[in-house]
Amino acid sequence: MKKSVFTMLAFPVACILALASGCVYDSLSSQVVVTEKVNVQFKEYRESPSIGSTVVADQFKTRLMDILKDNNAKLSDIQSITMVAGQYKVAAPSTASHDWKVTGRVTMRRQDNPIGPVTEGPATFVNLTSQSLWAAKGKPVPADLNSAGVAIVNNALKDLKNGGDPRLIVEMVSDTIVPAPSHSDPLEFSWLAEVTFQVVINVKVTGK
Amino acid sequence: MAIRSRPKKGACVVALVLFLASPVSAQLGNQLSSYTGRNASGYLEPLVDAFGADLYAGLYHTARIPERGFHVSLGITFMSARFSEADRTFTAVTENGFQPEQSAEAPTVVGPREAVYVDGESGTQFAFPGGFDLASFDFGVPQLRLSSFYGTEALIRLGLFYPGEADLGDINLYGVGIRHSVSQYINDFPIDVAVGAFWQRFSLGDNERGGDLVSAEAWSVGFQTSKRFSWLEPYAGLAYDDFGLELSYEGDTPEDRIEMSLESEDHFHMTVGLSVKLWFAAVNGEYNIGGQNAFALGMAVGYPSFSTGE
Repeated sequence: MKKSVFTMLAFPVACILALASGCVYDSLSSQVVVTEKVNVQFKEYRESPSIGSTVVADQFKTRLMDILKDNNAKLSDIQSITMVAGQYKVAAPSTASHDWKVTGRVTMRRQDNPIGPVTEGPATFVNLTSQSLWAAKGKPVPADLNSAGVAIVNNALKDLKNGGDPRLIVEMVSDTIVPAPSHSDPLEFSWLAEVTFQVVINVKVTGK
Repeated sequence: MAIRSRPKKGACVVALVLFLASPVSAQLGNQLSSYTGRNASGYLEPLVDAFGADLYAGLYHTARIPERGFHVSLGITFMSARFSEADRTFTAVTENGFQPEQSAEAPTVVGPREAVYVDGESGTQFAFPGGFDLASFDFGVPQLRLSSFYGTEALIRLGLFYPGEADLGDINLYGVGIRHSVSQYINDFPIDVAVGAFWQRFSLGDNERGGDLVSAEAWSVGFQTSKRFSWLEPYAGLAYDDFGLELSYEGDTPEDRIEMSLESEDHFHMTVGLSVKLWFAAVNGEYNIGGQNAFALGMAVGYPSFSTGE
């Protein structure tokens, strides 16, 4: 009897194995969306109404390579890369006892080679209209985007897909600052600008 | 492209691994990381409902529980919940500061593979992730029955453990249940009637904090009836269910920790089935009707013989 019971017990075990080997899915595929951010930080110190500081955004390729590595993907698996949004915030506020309101713009230009020519732009990327620095303290503010500047970012992202290593120059240009900074009341703060982009990747999940 | 650090096809719970996998192991983590809150729950909802429906299926194949004596049976139940067309998409809302906020019919985890795009202001674009284009969610689980103590039977759904990849952690599915014969108290009652309660728990993976990446609990209480005609035994049942699933994963950045609880809104299901008992073997098939319908097919061997009538 022992032997036959053992044989009978083997039956469901065999069924489990049979089901396990074929009941699920040979392979699955999908288009994964990975959202990534690239940011640049400006440090401002002004004793006059003009702000004209410049920073370089050149982390796009590094970020993309990390994404591809995480997904075990290649450049050819990328379906699309596009910009989703832009935002900014005051990272380190002014120590002044009053608020500042800035009207101006953030411009974008493409210069992949630091000693080479500007290949695209400059174009306005973000419009700032009486932006209160206090209102942008800590909390990201959705950027009022301009299509000409967004096009430069999107072209750079497209080139990433083709193996490029884009380098963007971001410049803060102020038209007016209220109250006007002065030697006795300088405007000193740092702010963070952020570009959000999405990479759509064709993934296939298979057995080893 | 193939994600190589995947479990081999097979061990049926792997289906969940494929969908609810660790962020470390990339693909679903990434699918989910682009979603938070309402979008994430909408994306996963069909799978959660199907998983719940599957867990409630195949818990019994008769209402007949002997009054006394040692009885044991070991079997496997294969469950399958099929997805409807409505399960393939949900109304998703753009995230990540995309302007203006828009809603779109986007794929759920079981929906079309292709991402869906919407255009925003000034040339921006938002993509909703694709699904895995699934017709059904299926898995199998072994179970052991022991009886009888005054007409009471214990059910153990054996833990399905998958050793997994190093970055995936453990997978466990186990459950216990108890059923008691009601008809034993009524002489010559024409049908068998039993009541029962079942509890099951599923857990997958380890998150960065050492807890489960996915954990789910399912409760079900209900009654069953059956009537044996020689080797055939039709059965039916009605149950109240409670299914909840907890997800804990990393968002776009390590600071974006997403903790999510998903509760099934469906609380009742009805079962109609037929079992065939031949000597030491029993085979049953059933259909479960609820918010998400599910088939179950079971095979078991038992001692003493099923066909003794006890």
